[in-house]
Amino acid sequence: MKALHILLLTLLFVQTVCAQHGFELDSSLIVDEVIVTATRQKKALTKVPSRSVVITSESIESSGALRLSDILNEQTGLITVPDFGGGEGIQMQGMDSEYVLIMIDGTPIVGRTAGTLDLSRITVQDIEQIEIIKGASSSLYGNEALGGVINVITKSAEQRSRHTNVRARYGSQAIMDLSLSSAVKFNNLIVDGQINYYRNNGFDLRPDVPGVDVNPFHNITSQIRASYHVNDSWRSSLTARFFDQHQKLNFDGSEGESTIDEYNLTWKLSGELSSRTSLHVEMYNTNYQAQESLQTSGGVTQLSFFDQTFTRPELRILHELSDAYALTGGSGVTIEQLSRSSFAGDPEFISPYAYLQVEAQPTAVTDITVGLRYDDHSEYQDQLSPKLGIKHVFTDKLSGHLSIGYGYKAPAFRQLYFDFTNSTVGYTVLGTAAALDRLESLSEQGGIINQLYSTAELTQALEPETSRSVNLGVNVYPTDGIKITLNAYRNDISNLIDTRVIARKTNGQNVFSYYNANQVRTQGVEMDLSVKSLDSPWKFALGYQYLEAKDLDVQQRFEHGEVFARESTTSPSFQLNSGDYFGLFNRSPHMVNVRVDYDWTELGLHANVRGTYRSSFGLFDTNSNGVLDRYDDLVSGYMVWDLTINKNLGDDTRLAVGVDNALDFTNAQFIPNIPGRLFYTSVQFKL
Amino acid sequence: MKFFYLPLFVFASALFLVSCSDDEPELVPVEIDIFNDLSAPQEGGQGQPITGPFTKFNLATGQVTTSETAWDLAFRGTTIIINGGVETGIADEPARTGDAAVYIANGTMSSIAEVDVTLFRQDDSTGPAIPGGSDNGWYNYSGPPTFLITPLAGKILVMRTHDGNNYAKLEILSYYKGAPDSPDATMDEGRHYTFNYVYNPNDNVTTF
Repeated sequence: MKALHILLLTLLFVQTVCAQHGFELDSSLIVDEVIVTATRQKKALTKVPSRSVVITSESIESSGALRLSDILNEQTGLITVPDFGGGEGIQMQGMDSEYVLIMIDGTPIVGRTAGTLDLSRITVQDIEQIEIIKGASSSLYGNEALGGVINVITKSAEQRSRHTNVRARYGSQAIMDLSLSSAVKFNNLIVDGQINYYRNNGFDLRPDVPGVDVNPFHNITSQIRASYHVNDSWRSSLTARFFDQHQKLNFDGSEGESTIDEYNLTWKLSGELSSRTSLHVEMYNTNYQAQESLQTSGGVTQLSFFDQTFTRPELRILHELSDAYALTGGSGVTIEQLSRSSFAGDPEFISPYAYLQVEAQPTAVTDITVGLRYDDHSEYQDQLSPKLGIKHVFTDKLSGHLSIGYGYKAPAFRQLYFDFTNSTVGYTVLGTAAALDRLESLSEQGGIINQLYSTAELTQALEPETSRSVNLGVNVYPTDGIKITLNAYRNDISNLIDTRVIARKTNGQNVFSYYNANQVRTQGVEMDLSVKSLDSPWKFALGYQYLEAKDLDVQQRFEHGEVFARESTTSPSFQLNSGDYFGLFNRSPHMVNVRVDYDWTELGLHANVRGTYRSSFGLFDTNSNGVLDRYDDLVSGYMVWDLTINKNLGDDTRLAVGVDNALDFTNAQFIPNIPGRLFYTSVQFKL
Repeated sequence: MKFFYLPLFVFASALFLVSCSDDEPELVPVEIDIFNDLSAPQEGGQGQPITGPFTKFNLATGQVTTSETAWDLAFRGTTIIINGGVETGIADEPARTGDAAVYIANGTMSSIAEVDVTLFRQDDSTGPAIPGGSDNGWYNYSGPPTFLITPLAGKILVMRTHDGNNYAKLEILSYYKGAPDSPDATMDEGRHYTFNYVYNPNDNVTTF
């Protein structure tokens, strides 16, 4: 035992001696940011021909963010919105969470509730950076990358082997976050790992109403990785990530428990076949299980479960034809299985795919990327997804980019196999593959009085949702330290899947099913301004997004004078004009984010203030026409201010105090994901 | 120029005289009425079979009635049936004795000026002529969290009465007792209809 302790102490000592430098607060270190998500290999952000954003670890750490939802919410044009399932999903360029692919280290995260991937599931402790690609990216990533891609890059084994990182935070709502990461090196093998514990006692914005807004929960995320350098050019790694969450449920009169168990396993092998060719092999397997048991006051226990498995082997080859031309080719197969309550069977999707990407630099100032991906699918029509991106540097003060892409999202399992009947109200929701059989059995039992669509219409297969997106923008550097980015975007989404009533039941309720319905367009402008100078302690960043998100069919109904509204619920209807359409639900036309950083180097102090503004938006139709118009009651716009002060004690210790939502903004009725003011303090050591 | 108006004046006067001649009865003007809080209770629901008598309404008298023949439309919960066609097969529904018909027009009470008789439907074995269910017919059901029944804006029920001779149009304004401005499904009592209607007392006149 004694020997082991000595060994550990020695290891720690060696680590401390070898530690290079602590906190890279020095703003004179302006590094050219690198992004991998855009082309699947490291590429300077300034050369990437698509609308891309990188959030650095320093920016995350100094803002005190804990979960992915915290930090994304502060980025231009991004907002996390609460879903009825309780999760917080991302909205990007006006598109919902279900159209944004979320990845950790390039592998997709699964487990969506009604399409929403809850971003608070993902910790941002000990990550290297977050990479964001806006606009359709199915040419590289296939399914789900319809609106964009968010890729969380964790710290590499080499980075973790520099120092052991310990961090603890405690604050209001008894929120506690503990994080530890470290690495051990044995010759050619590095074993590194991270463990994060997060606890939240929840909150209740409306104490007068029975039940609470967020029930107490806690979760543990751990990641362990073994990386082996076979020789100078070949390396292999095996990574396992686990996530485990428990939540006590206490609704009005009902009690229960909800658990999530998730793992992600990745094996990677990469090496050089020649000086110009490299090979990457990747085996990925993930499983997400959620269970909920709820005991109602009547003593009835309701159980629901969700069990999704995703497996994907992929082979990728990078080949440099010359200094100016590079090829990336890849092929793989995605296998998805889902087993859940209220489901007709345990479906499986199999989707082989292949893609090819050409990166060209015809002149020193022009970068062009052309990509094409083919996805076969066991259930749906196959997809061909092209993308073209051009980046051109006009002068040292001006560059521009244009990217045009295609994206698709295959219908989700539930849209095919759902078989759910609400036990209190009595309506039924059926997936398209389950609909006909179930309608027949309901009819035989005398439960259906009217089928509204023919058998042919009901057996028509669902088509994947598709989008065409265009991003066109410029970067302007008027003087040293000032950067302005302007980007205009448009996403045209076709075949959007919606629900419709397919039959009426004898109990007066409806049977719903899914169908390809609408054409939706989101478009607008994003603007970023950042000001930082080497000799000033101040840094300033401002972001703004203008958004129009409209259902084109609804827009047409407005133009044809087919939409009516009431002033109050009891007043007679009147006709609306085409200018009265407000757009899709839960979209704000204006969003602003601002961040001011101040460095007091002599005292080792770093402070920042961050504000996010969201203009008014509509959650429900309030004047009985089913759509949002300017006579509806909208949820008022709001601004949230966060403040963090960091203090460095030497190179290796950092203290922080902060307050989130400093002005204590709450809207219990309509914005249940924003708790009141939260204070916290944290300490971080690098050993 | 004055001479030019003279023949016009004569012509117009003639028209006026003709329309007032004794051959045709003088048209009775239509007027807009409001009926408050028609109570339409039901039993069952929430997954159980819905039962209970319908509340019948006569457009000509503007009154709720218990007559088994002299009624035009009848209410129970969110279900509305008419006295025309055949029974739909639901529990406790009254027999259809008349020739009422209905269709749902998109518009406002003032914009629907004429009846399009080709659109009329009657109740039949597939269901009531006024479809039930959220967004199918006259209402929207919001589901959680508000659980509100709201009459859809711009849906006008255009009707032929049970005697087959008269026409009416009707706009439902509220499903809650007292027609509160911002109803709360947990506080306000539902199944109380408030509606505007126009009944044209002139036989076989299809305009309002």
